[in-house]
Amino acid sequence: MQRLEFRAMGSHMLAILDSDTSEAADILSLVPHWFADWEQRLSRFRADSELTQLNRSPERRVPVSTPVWEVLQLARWAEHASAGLVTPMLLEALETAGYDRSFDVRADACTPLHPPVTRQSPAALTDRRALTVDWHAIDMDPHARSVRLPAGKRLDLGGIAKGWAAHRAIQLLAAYGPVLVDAGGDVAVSGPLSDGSPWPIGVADPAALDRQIDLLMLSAGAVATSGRDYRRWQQNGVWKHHILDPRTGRPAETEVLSATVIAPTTYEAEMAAKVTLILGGRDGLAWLDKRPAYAGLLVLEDGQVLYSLRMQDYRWECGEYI
Amino acid sequence: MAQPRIRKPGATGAPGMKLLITAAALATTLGGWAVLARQETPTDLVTVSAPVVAGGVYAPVLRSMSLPEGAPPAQVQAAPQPSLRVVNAPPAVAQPAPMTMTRSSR
Repeated sequence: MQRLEFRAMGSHMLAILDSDTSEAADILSLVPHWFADWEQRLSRFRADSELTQLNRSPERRVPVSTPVWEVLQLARWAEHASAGLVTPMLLEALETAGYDRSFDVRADACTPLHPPVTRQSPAALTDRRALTVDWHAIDMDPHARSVRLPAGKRLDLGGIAKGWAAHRAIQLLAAYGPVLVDAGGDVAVSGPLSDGSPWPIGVADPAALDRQIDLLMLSAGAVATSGRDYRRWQQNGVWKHHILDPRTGRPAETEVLSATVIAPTTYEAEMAAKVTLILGGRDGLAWLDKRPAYAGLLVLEDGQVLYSLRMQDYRWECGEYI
Repeated sequence: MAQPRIRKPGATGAPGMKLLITAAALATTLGGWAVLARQETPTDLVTVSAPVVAGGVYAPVLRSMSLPEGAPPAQVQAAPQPSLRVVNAPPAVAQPAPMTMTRSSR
C-alpha cells in the first residue's frame, strides 16, 4: 500500500493506493500536480484563476476548461437537489461576512472550540433574490464550452469544487488498484481494499480532532464532513463561520457543530453535509432519512451525537456493514 | 280421677334397639370411607396442618400432597444429562485503525 500527503485548496490532502507496483507509485506522484492544476482553475482566492477571470467578466462570454465546466454543472445540480440551500451565489455574502481570504493565510483563524452562534433578528433577513441563481440568466453554451454571467452575479464553487476534485482523482487512480482520496476531509473510495474488506474511516470529534467519535466502514462511495468548528472568525466582535444560510445570507444558526454524510459520490456527500448542518439536528436527520442513498452522523454543540436511520449500515460498532 | 299413663309405642327392648342403631351408623361410616378411598386422589391437594408454634409465632406448615401419577416416589428417574459440546467462542475482533479521518475541511 502506498500513500501520499500534501496540501492543496487550503486543505490537507491524502491519496492511498492499495498496490505496491512502481506504476502505482508513479501515478500517485502526479496527484499533487492534478490538484494544483484544478486549484488554479477553480479557486476564488487566486487572482489568475479561471473562476476569478469569469467573475471579473460579467456579461461576456468566457470559454472555460472541462474542470470548470463540470464543476459548474455540479453546482447547478447541487442547488436543485438542496432546494437552494447549497448555492454558488454566496460569494458576495461570504466576503461581506469576512471570508475574503483563504484560511491558509488568515492570522485570526480558529481559537475557541465553540464560538456562540449569533442569533439574528428576523428584521435582518437579506433579500433572498440576491442569493439565488437564476440559471437561465447564466448563459452556458455546451458546444463552445463558454459561460456568460449576468451583471452582478459572481460565483464561489467552494466545497463542490473540492468534492469534484476528490471524485476526479479517484477516477484517474482506480485503474492502478483500490484507492482512497481524502481532499480536506471529503473522502472517496474506488471500491473495497484488495482483500475485499471495507476502508475504515474515522470520524473526528470536532471538539478534539485527535479523538475519534466513530468508525465508518466504506466499501464504495464517499463521506464528507461539513462543520463550523474550524473555518470561523470574528468580525466586529461577533463570531462568524463559513456555512452561510442562503435564506438569510448569514452564517447558519444551527445547533449542529459538524455533519458527516455518506453518499455515492463526494459531491453528493458534500452537498448533503451542508444541507444537514444548515437545517439543524431534527430537520437535518429527517432530510437524510428521506434519501435512501445517504446516511449521516451529526455532532451537536452540546456534545450529543445523532445518527440517521441508515448510518448503522456503515458503523463498525454495529457489526454488519454494506 | 287419675291421668292415663301414656306409653310410647314400640318401646319394647331399648338396649337391643340401641345396639342396632349403633351398628347401622358404624356400617354407614365404614362404607362411606371405602367409597372415598376408591376415588382419584387430587394431585394438587395441599393441606394445612395445625400451626407449629415457633417462638410464639404461628407459622403455617404446608404439606404438598401432589404426586406424579403412576410414578412411585422411590423410583423417580433422573432426567438424562444433556450432551454438552465444547464451543470455542470466536476471538473478539479488534477495532481496525482508520486509514484517514473525515473532518470539516482544514
